[in-house]
Amino acid sequence: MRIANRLLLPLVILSVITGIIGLYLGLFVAPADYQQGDTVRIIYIHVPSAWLALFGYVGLGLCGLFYVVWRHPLADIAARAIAPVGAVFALLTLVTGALWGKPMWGAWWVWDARLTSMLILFFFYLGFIALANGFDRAERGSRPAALLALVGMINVPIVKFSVDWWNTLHQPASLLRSGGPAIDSSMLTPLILTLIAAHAYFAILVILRMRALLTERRLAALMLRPGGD
Amino acid sequence: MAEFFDMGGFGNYIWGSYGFAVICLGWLNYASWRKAKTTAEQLAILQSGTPASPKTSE
Repeated sequence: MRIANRLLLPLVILSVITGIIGLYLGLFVAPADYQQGDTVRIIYIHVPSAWLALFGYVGLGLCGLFYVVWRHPLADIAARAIAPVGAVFALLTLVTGALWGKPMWGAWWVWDARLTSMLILFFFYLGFIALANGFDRAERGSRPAALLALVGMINVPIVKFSVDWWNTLHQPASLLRSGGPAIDSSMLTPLILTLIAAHAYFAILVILRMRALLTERRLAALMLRPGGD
Repeated sequence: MAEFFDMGGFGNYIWGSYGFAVICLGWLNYASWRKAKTTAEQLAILQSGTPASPKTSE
């Protein structure tokens, strides 16, 4: 945790710089798409959100595994810190996707495999949060929540490969695909920068939330001590 | 400038997306900083009130 705290300032600087440059390039410099027009600029928020929602869930699932197998308390703290952040990124993915879908597809929502699996991912996050915080003593919710996080891992490859496994309205992968990214560098550069900014932002939020949760646990332990307040 | 905000007629969708992102991420940031700060303050108060408690470091 000490190392994580030391990383906070560099992460803030990295997030701000890459975020500002990425958004400037994305909103002002990058050209409009020949088919999508200016709506393509939504990808600079939609794609980073989707990546973080998915990576966040991988983190949540790994923490669940560590907690279930080794009962490591830090895994529980990390999972509790990741869940709300990942949930917000998943919600952002769904909302920005809908705001792009309406003008491009003519519908806010379709029951497409990618969209549906993303919605399920969001529900897994909500389920984790509800289970982890649904008990009078927070620690009692840790194990069921960790198990739910593990079960939800099955959905991660479904989200990622849904566009390959099914004939979806959502376009297939443009970045992580065999043969390299299929985006022109004028759009790829701002996207990579906003991806870096979003990853750093995610890390900042998780570190802050872990710090708060650890302090909360320490506070609870102090209160329980004889002679404590 | 008006042309920039219009975004080829898609301004509502694009700025709606960015606006929603700013609200969500801004709120999350504020809530996370605040929680970290208030819990740290509470701990400092509690530890200063109980001098016998062991020194803890993060």
